[in-house]
Amino acid sequence: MIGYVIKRLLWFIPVLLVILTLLFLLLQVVPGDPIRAAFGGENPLDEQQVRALRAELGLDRPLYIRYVSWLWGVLHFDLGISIYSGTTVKKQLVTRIPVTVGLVAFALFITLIFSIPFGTLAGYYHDRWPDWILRTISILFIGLPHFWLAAIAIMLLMTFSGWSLSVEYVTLFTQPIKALKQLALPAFIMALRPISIATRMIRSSLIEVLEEDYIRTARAKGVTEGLLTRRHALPNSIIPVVTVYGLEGIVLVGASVIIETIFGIPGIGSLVVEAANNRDFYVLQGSILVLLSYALLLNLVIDLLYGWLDPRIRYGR
Amino acid sequence: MTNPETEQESKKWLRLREVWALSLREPLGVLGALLFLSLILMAIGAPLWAHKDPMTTSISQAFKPPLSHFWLGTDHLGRDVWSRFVYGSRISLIVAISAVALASVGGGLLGIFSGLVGGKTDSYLQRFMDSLLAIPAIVLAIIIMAVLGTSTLNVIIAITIGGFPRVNRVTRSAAVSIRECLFIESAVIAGASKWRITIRHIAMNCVAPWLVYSSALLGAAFIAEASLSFLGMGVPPPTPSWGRDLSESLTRFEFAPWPCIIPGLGISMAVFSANFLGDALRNLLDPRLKRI
Repeated sequence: MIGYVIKRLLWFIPVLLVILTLLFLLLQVVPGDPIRAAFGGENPLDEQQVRALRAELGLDRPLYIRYVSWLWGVLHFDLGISIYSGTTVKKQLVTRIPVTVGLVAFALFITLIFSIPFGTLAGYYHDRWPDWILRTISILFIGLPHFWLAAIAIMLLMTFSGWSLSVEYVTLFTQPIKALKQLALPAFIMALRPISIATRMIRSSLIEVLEEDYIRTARAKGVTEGLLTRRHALPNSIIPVVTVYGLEGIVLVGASVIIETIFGIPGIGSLVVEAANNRDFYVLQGSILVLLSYALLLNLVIDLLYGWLDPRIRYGR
Repeated sequence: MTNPETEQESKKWLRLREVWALSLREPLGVLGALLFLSLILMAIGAPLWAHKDPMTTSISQAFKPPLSHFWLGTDHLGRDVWSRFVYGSRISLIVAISAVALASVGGGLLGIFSGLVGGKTDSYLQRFMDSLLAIPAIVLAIIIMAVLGTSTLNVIIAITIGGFPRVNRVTRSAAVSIRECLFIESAVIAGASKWRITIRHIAMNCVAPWLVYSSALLGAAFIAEASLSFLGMGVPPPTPSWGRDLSESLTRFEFAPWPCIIPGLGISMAVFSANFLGDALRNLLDPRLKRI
């Protein structure tokens, strides 16, 4: 197991390096340069001001020095300053990270607690009515985009129950209960698609496992149906679905961008959109770096979990 | 002795019956195909169905309810909701279809190449693709839009880059598994040329998974286009786009829900048609996956 963990951690390094390089190149290919892009609107800066700002941000240094200093900065959590507001990127990120971390983790948790029973139900009663109902619903939710679901949910709740969007969001770490209440609806809407996908995967995997010989043996020994499903079939059918949870974790990080914007949640996702609209490239760079690290981390955890659940993977078989 | 004409006739009937059997087996697929066809007809003949200009604004006509002079009502700028719905299908289809075509052709070719060449090239290429895959598609699209600026072409580029590594991975793994098959070895022994094996035996056998995956990508492309427009990073105004229309009218939902619901229906229709079609295609081409 330790060897497997080390192998997975080593795989992490090249991926991170590619992402860091891509994010660095992002700033280099902006037409003009980040300063002109940010201040290119109604009253552009004159040549001298641009040159002064470039010098201040170190943009007049050669490319490779900027690349090394970018990597060095990332190592020290120094991600530059916001061209738009003048504060450091780090300062903007620090308050927002816990919000997004909480939101995505919550959504992933909701995915787990709904998809496992639903998938078991659909798989056990396959081609009968519980399966048909769950399948129809899941097709529906796989097709509907997040923002459309979120928009309709907000609007219906506002019209019919006098519910209103939270103006100020608290974090899970300071006021956990209030935060859970506030994040319940956005997290649930984010989770609908992963729930549907995982339900379908567990269903098909369970159907396959239920046809295995060892299940017949267990039945012949007189194991009750409930115990058979729970203890014999379900654990084995969940293993292949673990990777689905990992992939959906990445999708959830992406979904947080849209959900946070729509609900006005001050997390990293909404910061990405703000920075992109303001063309504030250092903030964009930093916030995307955080989002991607989170996605990678989730993936790593899921992969390790997978290795732990299925010994065949650990040994590279 | 059979009459050649009746044989022809019975063959024709057989084909018709096949189509009928197919639609019975995949009713949702047929529904998806019909929906998709009507979307294409709507986009091509937009001026025929929409009698009003989708971009004409008139504040005095704002928030007219449906079934009045404007049969789906007007939005906050007095624009005809029905016309914007019809014209909105154009941008949605153009972006989604071109992005999927580019991503699947490019990603597919690179996937086959990578799978066949193997070795270091394959390994480096795939590590790079892995890194792209670790980035959520929507975030990647936002990065690209922020760098390139908003335009229709850039939206297509952004969505293409998101789909590219995914198609690449699917075709690569198909190519790798086919390369190891026994019939490839037999072809080599039979003296088939390298090109013949690559094109005739390997590439042709990658077509099914490639087609299935590309069609699945279409739904995702519809969602991506709508999401970018919704976030204000899609096709620039005043071109009608469902995503942006939805986001613009969202704040006024309470007293005028129609300009919000109609474009939403358009998005769902596009996504469902693509997903149903993709599902049916997968069931027909890859029966092993039927139960998923």
